[in-house]
Amino acid sequence: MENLALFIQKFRYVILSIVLLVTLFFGYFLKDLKVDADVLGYLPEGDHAATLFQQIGEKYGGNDMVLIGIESENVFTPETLHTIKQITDSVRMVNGIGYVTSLTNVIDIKSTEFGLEIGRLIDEYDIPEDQDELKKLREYAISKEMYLGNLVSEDAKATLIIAKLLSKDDRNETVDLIRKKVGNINYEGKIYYAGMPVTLYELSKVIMQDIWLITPFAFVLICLVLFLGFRNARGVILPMLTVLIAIICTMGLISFLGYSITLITNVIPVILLAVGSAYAIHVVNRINEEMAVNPKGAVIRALTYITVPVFLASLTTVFGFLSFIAGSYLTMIQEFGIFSAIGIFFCLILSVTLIPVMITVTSKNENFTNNKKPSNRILEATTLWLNNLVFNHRKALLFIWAIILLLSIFGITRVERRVDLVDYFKKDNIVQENETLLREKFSGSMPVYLKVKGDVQNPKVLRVMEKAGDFMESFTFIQFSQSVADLVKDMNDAMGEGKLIPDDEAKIRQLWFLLDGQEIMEQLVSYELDEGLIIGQVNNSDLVTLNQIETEFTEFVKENSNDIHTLEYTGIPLMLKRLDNSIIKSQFLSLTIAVLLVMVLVSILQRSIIKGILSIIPVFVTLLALFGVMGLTGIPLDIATVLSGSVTIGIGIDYAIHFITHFGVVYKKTNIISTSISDAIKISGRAIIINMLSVTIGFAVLSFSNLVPLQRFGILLATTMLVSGLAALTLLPVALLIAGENLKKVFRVNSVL
Amino acid sequence: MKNKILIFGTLMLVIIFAGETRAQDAAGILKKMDEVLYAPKDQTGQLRMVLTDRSGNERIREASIWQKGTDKRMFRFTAPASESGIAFLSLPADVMYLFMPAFEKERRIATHVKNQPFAGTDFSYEDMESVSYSSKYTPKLLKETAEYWLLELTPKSGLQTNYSKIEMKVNKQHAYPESMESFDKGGNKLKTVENTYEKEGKYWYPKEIKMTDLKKRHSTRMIMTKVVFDSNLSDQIFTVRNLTSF
Repeated sequence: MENLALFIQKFRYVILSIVLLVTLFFGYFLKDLKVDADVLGYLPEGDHAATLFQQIGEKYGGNDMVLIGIESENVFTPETLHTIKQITDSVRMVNGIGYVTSLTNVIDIKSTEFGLEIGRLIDEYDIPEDQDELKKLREYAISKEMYLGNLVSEDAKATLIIAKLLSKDDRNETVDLIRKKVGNINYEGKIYYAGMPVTLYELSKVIMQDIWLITPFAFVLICLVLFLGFRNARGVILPMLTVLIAIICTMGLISFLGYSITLITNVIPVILLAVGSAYAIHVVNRINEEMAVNPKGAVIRALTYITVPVFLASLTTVFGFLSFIAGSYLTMIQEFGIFSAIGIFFCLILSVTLIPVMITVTSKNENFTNNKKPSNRILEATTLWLNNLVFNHRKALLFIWAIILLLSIFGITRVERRVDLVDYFKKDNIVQENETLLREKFSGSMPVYLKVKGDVQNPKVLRVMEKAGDFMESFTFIQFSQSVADLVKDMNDAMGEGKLIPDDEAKIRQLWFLLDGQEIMEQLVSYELDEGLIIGQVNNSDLVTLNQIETEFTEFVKENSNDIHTLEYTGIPLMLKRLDNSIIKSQFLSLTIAVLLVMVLVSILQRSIIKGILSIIPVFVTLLALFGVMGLTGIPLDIATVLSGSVTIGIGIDYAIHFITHFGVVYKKTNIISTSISDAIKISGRAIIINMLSVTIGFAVLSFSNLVPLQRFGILLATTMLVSGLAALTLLPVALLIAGENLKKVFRVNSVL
Repeated sequence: MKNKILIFGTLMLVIIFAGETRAQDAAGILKKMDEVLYAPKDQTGQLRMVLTDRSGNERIREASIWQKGTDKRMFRFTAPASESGIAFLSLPADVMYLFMPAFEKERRIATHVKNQPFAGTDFSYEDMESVSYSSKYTPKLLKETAEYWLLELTPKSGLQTNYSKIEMKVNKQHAYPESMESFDKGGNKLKTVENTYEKEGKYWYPKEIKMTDLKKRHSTRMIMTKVVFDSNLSDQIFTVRNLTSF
């Protein structure tokens, strides 16, 4: 380590220039940083449900629906109908829009006094003005399954215009254009937007807002903590500079490699601020300590001591993040793991190179001999108090921890899970409001598909489609389904033969002839007529619903597939279910991996399994507390909070590592356990407290996020950082005291330092 | 004095109408084109419809067609077999009947919504109408070359149409429309039409019409064969009884 220290001092200007160049290089790519809020876009390739969903989207004109809701006293007035027509016409013209369906252009098949009519529900060129006619129209529209709950609400006070997006590219731009076009239309009633593309559009906006609001906020607060801890400019500037460079390089790298900022990766700057500053804090703290003893060679001495624990601490954190690569269903979480790990690595490298270089470079003009040991009464008092607690109130301390553990275990049994995208917004967010409105009045915005493969003009195939539609509508959360079977039945009825699928295939083919070329057909059957869709809309995405859909659809598909027709199903609910499964799976897997990796790593680097186990004690307790808090406060496991466990392990173990390293060094020298513990609490304790507070505050800032999962993630991490820091400073020393003389062998013989 | 007033009056008229000359020209061209298009008293023939989707898949439909004047027309589909016998009868005042042999009965179809596709093709009922362009549109001459006039047609007020304007190339020598581009109400190009003409007897008729729906990326070619003009078709052909007697 001494060699490294000397090397750093020798090549300080080279190091400075390299850091500057690398920062400029990645900083340049920051300008291209893009946001992608689509969670389901990060489903892994090769996942059957995801692939099928994608294929259906491409073949049948779009899974992505923008729903434009209009509310007024009565939708069936000339004014509102004209507005619907105007919106329908102008949205259709928007680039990226495939199909638009509304009351003024929806297909209508009916038998009238004149005969068969295949046309539109409302003649868009001749919108009725007469009260009686409007009343009849209203009654007719509400009486038809095809419109009720899909295009018009039961009380006729709300209507929907459904616009399907052609492709995912430029989705936000399309949503933006729709809003602008609709915004130009003069209408007195209420117009609102919902649907997945709108949710994602809002998410993207919020993600950007979050980055620009939360990161500077965290920055300022952490500066404040650092200043309070170190009481000098160097203690603030150097760690913050390190982290800033690491953030620029990491985010620049994301952009350089062509990745986008996601719902989760947007938290990386805050994580780096909170976590990355820790390494710098320990380095600066150690250099300060050595300066106080003897400024000459202080930097080298400090580096010789601190490089290993800082390296170890950051490596465990890196492993904590890398544990996400395995076991996560969403590639987005893998990206988060990888880029956070890279960011942490940047922080580490900068902490042991840039900081000492900066100190040597700047201290040339500074008389360091006058540099007083930084004093901070509150910190000193705190470490004294902790010392007293450990030595004189051991039982009380253990009692408190026991209660915390018991409460946690009780809480763990109550942990919930959640995957609904709309839950990501705060309650007062417009997206939440609109989705709620929509779910109350209409059939929902989450498509679920049953795909039937077989000759769609075969009566048997049409009957299974009819059955599938009935099956879907038998659920309370699916109020509306649509398939070509419905149209054939309507046509047959209009021919005067009843609302049923004809037995005679010739009849079906001739009815089909009239439907051919209707826009709706392209959304329901393939051009080759070898497969068809039954489309349902689900208006609920709680886990009970998702589970029910998965089990019952799987069974239905199995029961109704044969030589003539084979069924498959997919849809957003299924993917949310996958997401949920993956959350549990990745929780277990990444936690296990993180615990094992970290323990093995610490054991190898400290050359002692016992040290590894000792280090893991505070983190283990913290993990229990984490899930306990989730259960007790009702914070669910979701795509962000699922990350807390592994991040806690990776970061939380750092405090224990610093403590044990310090303890070991002193213990080796003095051979007295109590002195070593006191010394560790007094000196490393200070850095640990500053570190703990800055990390806690950094994460706590996330509670100001506009995204609920990130809020929860922040609150949880702030809690676990406090718990793991306090556990390292209280529980760990007590454990060392209890182990007593048994430690001799472990620390004196095997110690690396 | 009287003469002077007359000369002055004539002069004024000339001045007033001078500005209209181009418009008069355009209207004249359109009128001439209508005369060419609707010249035959009646016609019969075989129509082959080739439907091509965006992936290049083709489907073919065939029908026999009888037409008398501009407002009586009958289509009877002959292929594919499953659609054979299906027939449409159009009568004056937008009255339209449909016959489906599998059901053995006719139904009247309400066609008040004219932007509906006709028989799965890219032609809407509006496109299939035999109503003179002059009665529906106001023309403007955009361009004139040695071979063609380029007219811009805008719908007359009160006309129910899906189009905001049509640009049409009219052949100078024979006064038939060579190609058309129709635009939707947002000003986007919606459909293109390309015509190939042949002469049968004294009439030029569109041997092939290719209509492409740009938004759907779907096209239809309508190819006329065995066309016979002015054979004095009986009104009895255009009756419901004839429609159902298949």
